[in-house]
Amino acid sequence: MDTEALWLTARLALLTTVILFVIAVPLAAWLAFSKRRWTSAIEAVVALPLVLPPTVLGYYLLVALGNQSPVGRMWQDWTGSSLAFTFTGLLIASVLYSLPFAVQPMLAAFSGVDRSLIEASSVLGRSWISTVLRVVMPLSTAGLATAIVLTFAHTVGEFGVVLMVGGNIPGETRTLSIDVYDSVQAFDYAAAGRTSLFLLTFSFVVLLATYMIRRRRVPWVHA
Amino acid sequence: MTSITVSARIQRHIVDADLEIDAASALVTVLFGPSGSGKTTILRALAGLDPLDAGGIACDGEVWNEEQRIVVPARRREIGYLFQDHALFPHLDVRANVAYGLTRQQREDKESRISRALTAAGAAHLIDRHVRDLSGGEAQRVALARSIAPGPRLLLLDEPFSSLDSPTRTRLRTDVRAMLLETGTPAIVVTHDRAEALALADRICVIVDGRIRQVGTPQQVFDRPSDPSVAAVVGVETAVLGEVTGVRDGVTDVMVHGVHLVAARELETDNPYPHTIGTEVLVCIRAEDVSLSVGGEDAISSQRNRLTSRVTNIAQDGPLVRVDLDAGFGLSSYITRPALEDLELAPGSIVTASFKGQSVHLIDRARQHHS
Repeated sequence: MDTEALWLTARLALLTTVILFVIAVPLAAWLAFSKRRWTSAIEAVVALPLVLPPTVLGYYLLVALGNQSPVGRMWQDWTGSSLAFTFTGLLIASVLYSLPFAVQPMLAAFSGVDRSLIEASSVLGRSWISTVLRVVMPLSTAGLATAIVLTFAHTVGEFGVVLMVGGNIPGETRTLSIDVYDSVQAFDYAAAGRTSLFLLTFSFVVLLATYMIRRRRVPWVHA
Repeated sequence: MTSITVSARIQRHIVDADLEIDAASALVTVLFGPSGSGKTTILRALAGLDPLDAGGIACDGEVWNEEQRIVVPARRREIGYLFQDHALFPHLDVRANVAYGLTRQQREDKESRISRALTAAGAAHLIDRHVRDLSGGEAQRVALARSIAPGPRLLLLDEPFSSLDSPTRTRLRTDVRAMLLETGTPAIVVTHDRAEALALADRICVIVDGRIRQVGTPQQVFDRPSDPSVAAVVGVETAVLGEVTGVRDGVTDVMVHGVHLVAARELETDNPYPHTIGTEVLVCIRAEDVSLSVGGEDAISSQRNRLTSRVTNIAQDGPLVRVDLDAGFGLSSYITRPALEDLELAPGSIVTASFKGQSVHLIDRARQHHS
């Protein structure tokens, strides 16, 4: 198995998970508790990567990150390198692509927190942020763990977006899923088989862990 | 004195009220009304938990709500709120729950504040317990401690005892009033329970269909409902302050304005503790339970209370006639029209009003110290 691709995949998945956790907690909290009408629209946008073909998302990202776009040009001026076909570009793509896998389990967990506990917190003088940190998150540990595990696993498993945005540059954007594709293209079925088995085992273990988290009886969750 | 002005439309309720909360004369205000009358709606709007549809709320001249906008959010209103179901944080222990609302400065003497609040709520022994191990009554005491620990300028209680069993409820409501008086915390309590309203209130606001119909002392409201809608909600009832003078053989002696009354210990006992001599109690007698006769107090009867009274007013009230009496204190009786004719009653007539000891309900009250 290509250890360089393994290391790169792990690094990508880990960074994506950390960044998404920071983005998804406030987003999910806002979606769960805001009474504004356009929350539905935001929810729909967040869920888009679930239904869009990865190539469509990849195409838009490529356009947005490329040297022709303002964002791409700004990045180029600032860092001297391009966003497309780099690890940073791939990371941005992964964050967007895995967004629903982080937000939705959190949203479900946050929505399940007893409303009066949140009201009690605000009446007791706590700000919105403090309430999320001290009441909502501690009571949503299972949902948060599910979000972390699913984000990580989904990033490891992504293919279409990586191919579109990252290309296939060893050590920069060549992940394990691309490695399998490459091996098959080169008729190296033995290598493809080894990597595939690894990914299959990994995915199974991750999903098993997720379902076990969900089944765990948390003592303070009322049935 | 805290002055709260509510003039608002909330959902289908229209509320117009000037709530003058005067800590010296009327510390506890009860919003009393049937379910669905809008009591909780008002309380939640006061707390800043729900926005108004129109109108405004102001507290001591500071605008809290203006039309749909919540100007001062709940966390800045410095109020305590006691939820129906205690709403304790299940992931924290009792100590952390009580400490939760303390501000940064208050956290310097955190431990003493926590223990003071728990002691006032009668829950000092629970400090190291976990929330999930508390009984309903204990949880509500801890929730009370949590709400008073930061020293709120106003405490709001939403049907605070409705989920508790009867003996716990009786004990807790007596303790809560004592605690409010001791800490001098002004409070607004929402309830649909008559006994609760009588036990807690210095002042009752009767709410029917989202409007405050009558404001007065418990005696005024229960004894002299201002209109039929209030009467329908509270029932016509004499409610006067008295003092326990004796406890014997299942009966309690009470003095009310110099008149001696006998009250039976309630069979289905609401109150597990006998009244003690010298306690101030609210004496409640429903007009339906008072019968009238002409001629002599001397006959021996199972009706232990026989009072010579003067008729002060006679009024038709639905199918019955309501006779108001002066028996040394105000008393009312419902009788039928034929009975009225047989007794030949008119204002000024002297009659004997009689009622059984079981018809005299005593409600314990901690005494308000006028300052």
